[in-house]
Amino acid sequence: MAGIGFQLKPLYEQSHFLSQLRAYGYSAITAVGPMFLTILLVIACREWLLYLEAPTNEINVFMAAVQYAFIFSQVLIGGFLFVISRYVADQTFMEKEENVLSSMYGTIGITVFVGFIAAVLFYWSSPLPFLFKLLTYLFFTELSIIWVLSMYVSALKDYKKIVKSYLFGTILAAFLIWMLTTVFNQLTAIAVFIGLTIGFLVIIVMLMRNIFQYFQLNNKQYFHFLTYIEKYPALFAIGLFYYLGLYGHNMAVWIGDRGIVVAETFMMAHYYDTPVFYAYLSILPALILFMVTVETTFYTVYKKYYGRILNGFPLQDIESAKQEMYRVLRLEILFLAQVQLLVTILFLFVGVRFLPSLGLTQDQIDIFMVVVLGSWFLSLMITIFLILLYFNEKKSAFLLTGVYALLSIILTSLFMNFFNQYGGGMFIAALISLIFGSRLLVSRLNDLDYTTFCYQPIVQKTTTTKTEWLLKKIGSLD
Amino acid sequence: MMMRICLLAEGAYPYVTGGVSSWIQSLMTQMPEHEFIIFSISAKDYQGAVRYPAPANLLEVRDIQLGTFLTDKIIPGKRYNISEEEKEAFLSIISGGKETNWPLLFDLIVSDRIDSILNFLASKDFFDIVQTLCRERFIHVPFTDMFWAIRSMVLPLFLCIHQKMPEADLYHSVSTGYAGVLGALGKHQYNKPFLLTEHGIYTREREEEIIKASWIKGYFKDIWIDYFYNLSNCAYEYADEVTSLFERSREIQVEIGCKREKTSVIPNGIDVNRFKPENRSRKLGIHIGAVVRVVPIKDIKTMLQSFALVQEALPSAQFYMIGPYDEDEDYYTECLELVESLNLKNILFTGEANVMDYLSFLDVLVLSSISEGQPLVILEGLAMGIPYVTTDVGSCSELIMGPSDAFGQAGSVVPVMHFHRLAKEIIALARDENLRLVYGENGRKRVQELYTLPLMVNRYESRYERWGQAVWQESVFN
Repeated sequence: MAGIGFQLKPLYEQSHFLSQLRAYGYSAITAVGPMFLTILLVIACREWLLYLEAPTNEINVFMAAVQYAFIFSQVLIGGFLFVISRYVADQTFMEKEENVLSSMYGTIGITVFVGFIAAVLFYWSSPLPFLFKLLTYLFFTELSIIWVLSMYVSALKDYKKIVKSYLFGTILAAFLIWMLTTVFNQLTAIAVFIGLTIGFLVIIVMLMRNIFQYFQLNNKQYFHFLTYIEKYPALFAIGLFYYLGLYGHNMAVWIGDRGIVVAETFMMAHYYDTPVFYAYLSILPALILFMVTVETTFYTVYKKYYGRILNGFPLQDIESAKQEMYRVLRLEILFLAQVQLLVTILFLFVGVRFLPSLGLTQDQIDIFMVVVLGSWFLSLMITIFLILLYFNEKKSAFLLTGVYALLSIILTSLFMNFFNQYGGGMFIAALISLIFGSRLLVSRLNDLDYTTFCYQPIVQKTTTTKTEWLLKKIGSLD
Repeated sequence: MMMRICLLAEGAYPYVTGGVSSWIQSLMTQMPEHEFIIFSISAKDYQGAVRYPAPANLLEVRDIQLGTFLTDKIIPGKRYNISEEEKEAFLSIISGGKETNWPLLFDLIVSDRIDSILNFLASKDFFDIVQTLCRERFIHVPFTDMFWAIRSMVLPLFLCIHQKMPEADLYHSVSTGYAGVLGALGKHQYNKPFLLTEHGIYTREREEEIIKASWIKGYFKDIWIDYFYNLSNCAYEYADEVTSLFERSREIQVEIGCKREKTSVIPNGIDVNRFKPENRSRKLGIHIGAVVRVVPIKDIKTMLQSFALVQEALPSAQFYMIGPYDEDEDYYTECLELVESLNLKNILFTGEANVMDYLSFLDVLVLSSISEGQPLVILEGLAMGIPYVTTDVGSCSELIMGPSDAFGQAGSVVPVMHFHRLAKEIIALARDENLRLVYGENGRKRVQELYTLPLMVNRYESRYERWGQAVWQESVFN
């Protein structure tokens, strides 16, 4: 029009944010399965060693090393988790699947590298035997790789094969441990780690084989996914704080009065850690339930709402879909809260009844009860956190995980130092974060129209990120 | 009395050659006693390439290159405290119905409250306005499309208004549309007279474009068209006087909403001294030319088809397409293909050229436009005593047939796209040298009497003085 007509296009016509946002949910949950499998396996190992009357120091050093490998592998990959899930969703959508496999190698490469340096520094002045250090390092690395793989495996949607891989690896590990401890009578932590390391290696190999069948091309742009850290720094922070939130308060206790140092290497606090891990098992049902309800009822109305926005529906139809979505969301959260309350009560009963026979003291059972109750809030908070991600509220999700991570550490320290009370800090932190998260969610949902529309860029700009520039410079990107 | 005149034009001077630009250039050079500021609105960012030498009395060319604003950083989700009345005023430019409260809208956009137009279009207030519009008026229109359509519509307008208007003694817009609204803004802000000259009928041109545009969907065409009518009405409303180049165009202005008493006709004029028919020299054979830019609105293809018929009748005829062909490369390529398939032999696309070199020997001039105002090229051709065959658009028939004067025919006029008739008239002229001389003489006399530069300049000058006086008196007596 005399050269002065603008054709602004709704950008999300080309976009696909539903599948992107959905991927966040997957990534938060897919790590859960292997996580609980690992917890159960470790508990089983401990009970087995106790049953065989292995020396206490061997059991202690085993537990300490396992716990460290477990916690720090998660904190290590936490930041990458949401970033790669977004990256993989984007690349799959753009049909650039050759980027997917390379990003997997890239992530594994970086985590293994960083993990190696961390392990060297950590073990530098430790008096533990080299073989033990090597095995635990391998176990730690394997766990890191498994967390990364579980993200990629979720794209396969072939759950049978995935479960088979885990089952086979676990059984192999169990068998090897049984062989070494009974047949060869090696009642040492090293023996157990040999079994675990080989078993988990098999899991990795089997998972990778599945992934290779699905993603076959690798264009060797290993570090292209790093551009996403620059593009979405909040995602990296979200993942990091998510895991810091889960374990930060444990670390706070380690440096407190109840903290002990195992084998001059591992700072820990059995007094607190053991009941917390048992209590955390109660979150599992909520997360699985979330996955199921979100994928059925909520996702349907959610898709309808965005579908109406994208497919040219008039305002009133969009509004009614939005109201329906809110209604379902309210119901789902309420339902989740109720079910999780039942789970919590069940855990309290079972815990009080059986935990003493697992060697927990009365004090520890008190901690367990408080943390189980706190986990009820925590699981609801995680639900809200995931819903925020579904609505692409990265900043809010970051705030929420950040607030919980900081509060749980600070309050745990305060409760420990001033009231000699353990678990209360986590409980209060989870409660405050839940309230904060609910308010955040309500306010974000009230602004949903604005965020959906106003935040769409007026003109699409393609900018080169600094990371891209750097990668090109060092020749790792075409 | 020296005045400072602000000329407002869309996508033309000094970067694009053509009727409006030449008109602006001669207005300035012919009125050395006045100072000029040119406010030039264009979509693209013209790098350098100024096509006209700046006369001494041109103080400043102020470019608004709309494209360049689009790279600005946007802060979405702001609030601007828009009042009900302001909201109402905004709504009315889209939905029509009520009279638009332009003063309020001008004040809002010019004020410091709106920090950036892009931020405003990404603000919550803007969303609220679109929502209200869809709730009250466009109930069944796809909301998302509406949101983007309104963003597209008002972006250039608001960007223009948001620029600081230079202060001048008189504002003279060269079209309605954005330039017209800016003239109104000048009048509103500085209380200075506003003169509007339409070379074509802007609204009708936009209407045709919109109807043809494939990127505007069905119902939105009406909304876009109404919007441009609204902009024109703003200019008609504010203008102290509205001039057009010929009678037919004045009638349309009245028809689409301009008060009749504001309208008058000022035809274009050319410097006839530059054109000396006595310097013409006949070349052997018959030479037929068209002084045109190779663009679709000139309907070059129809002309080529008629040339093919002429070639059949007069195999020795030579054809000249005089004017730039780089504006629409695709169209030019299509034309060359058509030349090929029509087997046109003696045709030359000169590209940008000195027209006078060709006017010195051409026997017949042709214009096959679909739409025209008052083409300077016809005046120039006639001034050289060359007969013209044109389509019946704009003021072509007025210039060729002279219905209201006694000079007689200066060529022939045929319906638009009618290449048989076009060819027939060309052949008739080509075969009859006597007829060419008679027609040429008629045309030359008409231009010398009615369409000279001094006549045109005097008429505009008298307008400038009259309105300058009026304001001066007003300010003295108040």
